[in-house]
Amino acid sequence: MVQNKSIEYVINETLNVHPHYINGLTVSLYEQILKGATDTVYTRHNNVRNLAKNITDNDLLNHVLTEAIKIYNTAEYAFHNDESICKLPVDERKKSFLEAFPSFFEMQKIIEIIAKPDINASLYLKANPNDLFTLVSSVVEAKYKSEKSYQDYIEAHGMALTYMLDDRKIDLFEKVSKDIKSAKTFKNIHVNHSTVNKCVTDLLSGKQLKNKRNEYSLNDTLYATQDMGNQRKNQEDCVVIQTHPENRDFQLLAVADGMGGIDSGEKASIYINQKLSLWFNALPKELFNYPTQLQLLFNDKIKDISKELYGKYNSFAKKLVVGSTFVGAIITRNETIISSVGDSRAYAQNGQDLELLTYDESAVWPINHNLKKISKYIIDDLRFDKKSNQILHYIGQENLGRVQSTIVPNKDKIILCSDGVTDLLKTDRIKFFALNSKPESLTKHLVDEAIKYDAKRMLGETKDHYGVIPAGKDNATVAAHIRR
Amino acid sequence: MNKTLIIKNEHNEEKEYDILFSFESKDTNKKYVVYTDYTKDNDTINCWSNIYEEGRLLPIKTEEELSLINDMLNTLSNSTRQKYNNN
Repeated sequence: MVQNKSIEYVINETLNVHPHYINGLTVSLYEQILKGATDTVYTRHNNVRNLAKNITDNDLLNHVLTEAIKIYNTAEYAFHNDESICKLPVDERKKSFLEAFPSFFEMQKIIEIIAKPDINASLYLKANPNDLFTLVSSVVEAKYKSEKSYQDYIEAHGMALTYMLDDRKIDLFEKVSKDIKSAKTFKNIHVNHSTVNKCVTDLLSGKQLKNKRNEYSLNDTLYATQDMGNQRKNQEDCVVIQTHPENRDFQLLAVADGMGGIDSGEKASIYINQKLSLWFNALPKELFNYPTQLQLLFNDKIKDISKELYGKYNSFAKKLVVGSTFVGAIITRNETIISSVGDSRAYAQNGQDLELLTYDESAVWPINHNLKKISKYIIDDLRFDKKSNQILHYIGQENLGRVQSTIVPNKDKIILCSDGVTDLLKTDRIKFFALNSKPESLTKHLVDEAIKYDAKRMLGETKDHYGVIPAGKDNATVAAHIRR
Repeated sequence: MNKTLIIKNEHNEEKEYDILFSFESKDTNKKYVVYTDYTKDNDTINCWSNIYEEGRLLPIKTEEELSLINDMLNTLSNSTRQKYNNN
């Protein structure tokens, strides 16, 4: 294996002769690791290119990993020992630390994975190119772009064996070197990440409906939690979170809430989300840039699915046997498409604001659908109306007609809920969790609140209104996209 | 990369499988593909592996090749589990 110092020399000599090379260094290293090393990117000056002829993709990967571990070790050292950070008040330490090591937490997640004895670091990074890119760009920033004093600081503290795994000190340098050696025969690894998305796996296999509770997360931006609740014996809600196989920022999340009683509700909800998952997976990646066109396709697909469900189950019975409400979101480059049918809801949180993006297609929702003009107190009181579960529009109708749909600029959070959640939580409570929960806990908090605490009407029970909605009266499902 | 495989069984019936991953080996110069139909066997999702050559699926014959497949499968499933546990 070509030594790290030699690779450092080759890169630094090239930068000395061609300073502009720094602009493309991250991409150059990343592509060489994945596709094969090339000497032509380095300078001919001082015989550097001849030296570079011996560098392989695995040498470069070893170099990146070694330097990344050094940066990580240095950051750990700095947080606990560096005077300029330690002397600060506790709440300012983290901010100052992150200014010095901006990608620390991203690196930490990756290093936690590759440190595991049953995970080969080389295979993992070559199969997860986004994580590889994170490490490469962190190394380029810290080692080749930063001030010399910063580079010297990393050299001084980077070799300390501070990594602890299950109460043991792990020599990460040794581990990654062994992993690279044992995986050196692999090349051109392609992983179809959507097929290892647990949510999609459970959805397509039908397992999602069998579990009392499901918790999913994907890509550090998509989360979903489902609970059967305290009264239902089966799960009729269905959820999907997934990224497009060719672009992790192109995302689908959807919640479907089945109607119609035993068996039939779950058939509808799972059918809808299975079809949408496969449809989304097969979309051309270019649609990421064309939300208006994509919105038309999305809504047409929802209508087609409704027709299919009708033909499959309802047309023979001549009445509703299988149906579902639905709310879905597709995240594109700058905008989010929201489409819904029925009373499943979509919220957007941006800054300090929480906005309801959908109206309930139910018998009790005010005819004026202008969401900005309906106060949250009216919306919150509607859930106690005894007719609130009379849905006027659902998937499973032969001709769905218009699908409720809007396009909004991308928000900090998109939150999709089944009525098993929105019937139990008032708007301010949803807003509280949206503003205060950690990203990985938001969907869990909302579902837990819905299954643990009754909702009580301030004005009490009347002949038209329930006084109390019991906790967990229905299946509760939340899916969320959280912008990083 | 292709996302699915369509395979005919001995009765000439076609079935579609999702590709989990593929890779090439510098040692053998062959391409390997692992795929699934999401059916289960005792709570484990079934998957199959073959050599992929010019549109044909060929059987894997050597222990070394199987070991490569297992290395990749282990890393993939363990890292996926780790990511979910971290969250």
